[in-house]
Amino acid sequence: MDPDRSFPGARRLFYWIQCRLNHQPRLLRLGGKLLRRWPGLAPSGAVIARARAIEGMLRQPQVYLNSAHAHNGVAGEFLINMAFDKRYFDDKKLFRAVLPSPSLLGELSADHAKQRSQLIAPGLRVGFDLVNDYLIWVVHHAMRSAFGSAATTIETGALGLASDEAAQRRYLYELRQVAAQLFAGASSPIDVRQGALACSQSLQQRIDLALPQIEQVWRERLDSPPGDEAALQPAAAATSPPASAAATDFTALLNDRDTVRRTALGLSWVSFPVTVQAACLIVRELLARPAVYLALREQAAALGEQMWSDRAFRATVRDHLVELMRFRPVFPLLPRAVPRPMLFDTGANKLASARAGQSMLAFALAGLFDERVVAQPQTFCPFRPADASGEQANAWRDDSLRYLMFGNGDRACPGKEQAIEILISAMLGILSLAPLTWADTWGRRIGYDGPMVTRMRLKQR
Amino acid sequence: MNPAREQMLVILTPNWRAGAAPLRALKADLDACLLSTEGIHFASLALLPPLPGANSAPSLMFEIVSDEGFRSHHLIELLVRLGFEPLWTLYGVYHDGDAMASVAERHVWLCDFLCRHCSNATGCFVGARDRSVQQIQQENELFQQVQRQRATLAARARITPLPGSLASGSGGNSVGNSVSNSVGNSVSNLISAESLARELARWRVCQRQFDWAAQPALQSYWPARAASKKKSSFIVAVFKLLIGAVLAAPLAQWRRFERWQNRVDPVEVPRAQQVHDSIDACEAEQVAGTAHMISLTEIRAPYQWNAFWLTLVLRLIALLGRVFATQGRLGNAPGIKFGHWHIIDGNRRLLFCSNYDGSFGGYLDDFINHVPRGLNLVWRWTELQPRLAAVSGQPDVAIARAFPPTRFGIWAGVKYEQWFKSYARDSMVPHVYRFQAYRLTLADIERATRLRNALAAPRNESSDDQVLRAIES
Repeated sequence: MDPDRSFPGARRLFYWIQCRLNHQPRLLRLGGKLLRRWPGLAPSGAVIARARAIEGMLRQPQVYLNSAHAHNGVAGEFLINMAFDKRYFDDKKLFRAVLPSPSLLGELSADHAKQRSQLIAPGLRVGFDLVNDYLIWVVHHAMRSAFGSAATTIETGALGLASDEAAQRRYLYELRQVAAQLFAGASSPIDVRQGALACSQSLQQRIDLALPQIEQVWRERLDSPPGDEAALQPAAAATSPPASAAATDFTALLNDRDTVRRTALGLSWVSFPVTVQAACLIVRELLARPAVYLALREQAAALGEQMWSDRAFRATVRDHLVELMRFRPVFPLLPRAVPRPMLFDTGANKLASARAGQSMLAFALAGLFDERVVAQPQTFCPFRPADASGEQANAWRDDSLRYLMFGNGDRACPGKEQAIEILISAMLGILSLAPLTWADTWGRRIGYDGPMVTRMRLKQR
Repeated sequence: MNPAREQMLVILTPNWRAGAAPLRALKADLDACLLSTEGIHFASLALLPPLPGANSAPSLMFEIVSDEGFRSHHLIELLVRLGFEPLWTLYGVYHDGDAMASVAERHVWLCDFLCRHCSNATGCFVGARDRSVQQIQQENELFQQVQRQRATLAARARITPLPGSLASGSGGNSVGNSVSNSVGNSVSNLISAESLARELARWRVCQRQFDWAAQPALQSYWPARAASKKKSSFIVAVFKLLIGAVLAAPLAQWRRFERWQNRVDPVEVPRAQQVHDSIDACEAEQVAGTAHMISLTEIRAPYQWNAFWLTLVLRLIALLGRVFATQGRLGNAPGIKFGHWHIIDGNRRLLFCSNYDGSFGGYLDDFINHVPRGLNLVWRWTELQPRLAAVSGQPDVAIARAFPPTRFGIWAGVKYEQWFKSYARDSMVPHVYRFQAYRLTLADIERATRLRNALAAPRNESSDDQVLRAIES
C-alpha cells in the first residue's frame, strides 16, 4: 500500500468530488455539452467528448490502452484492465465460452425476479430497499449460474459458512468493495483502498478454494454446450484475431490455471456489482419520467403473467433500458492511457497533443448526446430508428454507437447481451409491482458507499 | 482521523479467567494467522491487572500494529477470516450464546465482539512511517542481496576505498568495465567505488525479482515536504543566520530559565528501581529483535477532567508527530518504531505500548534527555495505585506513589531520574505472547530504503555515493 503523497485530506476530497460527480448526470451532461461545443476546453485535450472521436479512440485499443484501469483492479487483472495481447484474447474467448448465454441468464433472472417481486407484498406502504431486497438477489442468482455447483463453495468461503443469505451478503459486499475501485480507484483514500484490498484477498481466497470445482464445471459446460451456447461461439470467435479464431479447443485454456483463475475472479467482481449499479441508475432515471414508467407498467399489467415470457414486451423493455442507459450510463467516463507522445483528434479544428503516459478520458455520456450521431438527443425516446441520413425524428444516425455505454470495438464489454437480459428481467419484476415512488425525502433517496449505490428505498403507492 | 492512530489498536476484553497458559499455547497458530495477513508489524497479548479496588479478573489485551490504511473493522474481519480457529480458542470463552452455533454465527459473533472491544490509539507516534510490512521485508531482501553481490564483486576485484567526500571521487568511468573482463589482471583488477555502485545498480536492473525497486520509495506529504525543504537557498540561509543572531540572546535566557525550572530538589525516592522477573524475561526474549514495553498507570482523580486534558495532549502529540517528527525521531529520541497511548477502563487508566530498538534503560534515557516536556505532559496526569498482579508470577504494585512533581506541568518531573525510572518500571506489565513480522532496527529499515532509493535514482556521483554509503554503513 503506497502512502498518500497529497496534502492530508486532499485525496479524500477528490474522491468525494469524483463520487459525487458520478452521481450527478445532469452536471455531467452539461459538462459534456460544453466540451462537445468547445473540445479545446478540456485541460490539454485529455477529455474527448464528441462521439466520432470517442469511437476512434475506443477502436484503437493498441494506441489508447486499458492500462489506465490497472490501478483500479485491486483483485488483479481482468479483461477490462489487461494489455491488448494474446492473453487478452485467450481470456476473452474463455470468458465468452463459459458465460451462460443471454437467453439462459434472462430466463434465470426472470424466475428469480418473479419470486422476489412476489415477496414484496402488494400495497405495502412501508417501503422496501430496491438494492438489498431485490436487485442484488436477482443479479446474483443469475450470475451464480456462471459458476454452476462451485457457486456454493465460493459463497461459503474458507470458513465453510452456511450458504445462507448472510454468507451471500458478505460475499456480495466484498464484490462491491472491489468493484468500487473500478469507478474511483485512482483517487480513493488509503483506508478505502486498504478495505478493498482486504476484500479482494478474501475474494481470491474464495476463488482459489473453489478453483478445482470451477474448472470441472466449465469443462463440462464446454464439452456439452447447453441451449443456444453453440450460437454464442461464432460471436466469440468473430471478435478475436485470426490466430486465436482458428483455435476452437478450450482444453489448453482450461488447463492453464492462471487463465481460469483470472477469468473466474474477474467474472465475479465485475459482472455482479456493475449490473446492480446499472439497474439502480436505470430505475432512478425511469422514476424521473413518471409518464414513461406508468405507460410501461400499464403494458405489463395488461399482459399479466404473460409479461414474463412475452418476447415482444421484453424487446420493448430492452429499448427503454438502452435509452435510459443513454441518459445515465454506468461508466460516464472511460479512461485510457497513451503510451507515447501523439497527436489525436478531439473533433476540433486542430489536433490535440498528448504526452507519453498521459491518461485520457472518453466522455461516453457526452458522446451519447452528440447530435452528429443521434437526432434530438435531449428527448427521451426508446424507439429510435437507425437512419444514416438523419431525416427521421429521433433517429440514430450511426447505429453502431447505440451501445457506446458498453464501450466500442474489440474492447467493448464482452458480457453486454447477458447484462442487458438480466436488466430486462429485473425491470419486469419492478413493473409487476404496484406503482413505485420514493420512500425517503429528497436528498436521502439513494445511499452511496463511495461511487456505489448501496440503498434505494421505494414504496408502492 | 489521524491515519497513524488507526494503525495501532488494542482489543481489551475484561474478566479473563483462564490465566496465561492458554495464551502461550496458541503461539504457533497466532503467529501463522498474523503472518498471513501480510499487514501486521507487531502484536502482543498481555494480561492487565484489574482496576485497583475492583474485585474482578484481569483483562486480556491484544495489541496490534498494522500497516497504514487499515480500518479496525477491516483488520478484525481479516484476522477472523485468516485465523478463526486460534481467535475462537482465545475469545470463545466469552461466547454465552448457543453452544451449537454454526461456524457462520460464531464468525459473525467474533467479529462483532472484537469490534466492540477494540479501541484505536488516543495518541501515537510512528517511527517507521510510510512503510508497509511487505515493503520493509522486500527492501531488506534487496539490501541483503546487494551485500552479497558486493561481496561477489569484491572477490573478483579489489575495491578502492570509499572517497571521503563527493569531491574526491574521480575516475569512475575509466574503470567501469574492469570488473567483468579483467579477472587475473593486477592492474585493471581494481574497481573504483563509483563503478562498483554502477555495477550494483546494473545488477539490480537485471534482477526481475526487484522490479518493484525501479521507483524510489514513496513518502507521504509531510516527510516529502520536509525532504524537499532540505536544500535551502543562500538567501534563506543568510536570513536564518540573521534571525538566529537576533534571537540568540533571548534563547540563551530561555535556556537558563528552563534549567532553573528543571532543577531537581533533593527528595527521597519512594522506591528503588527494581525489575520484576517476568519483565526481565520478556526483555531477554526480545534482545535480538524489537524491544517491547507495556505500561499501565491510573489516571488521577478527578478522572474525567484529567482524562479530557490527557486526551488533548495525546492528540496533540499524535498530530505533531505526524507533521513534524517525520524523520523517525520523536523530538530527538531515536529508535521508536511504534508507540501508542490508550485511555481505557472508562477514563480510569492510561495504557502505553511501545515497540522500540535497544534496551529499556537507553530508551528511558533518550526520553528523559530529549523529550522531557512531552513525557511530563503525558504522565503528570497519572499515578500508581496499589494493585494485584494479573496472575501469579506477574508484578503487582504494593505501595501507591505519584509521578515525580512537575513545574508548570512541563518542567522537572522526569528530571527526577531515579524516581521516574522506578515509577516507569513498576508500571510495566509483561506480555505473554509477542509477534514480530521482522527483526530489524529502525536504522536497518531506513538504510535499506536509502539503498533502494539510491539504486533507483539516475546514476551520477551523488547517487553512487549514496549507494556505497548505504551498503557500507
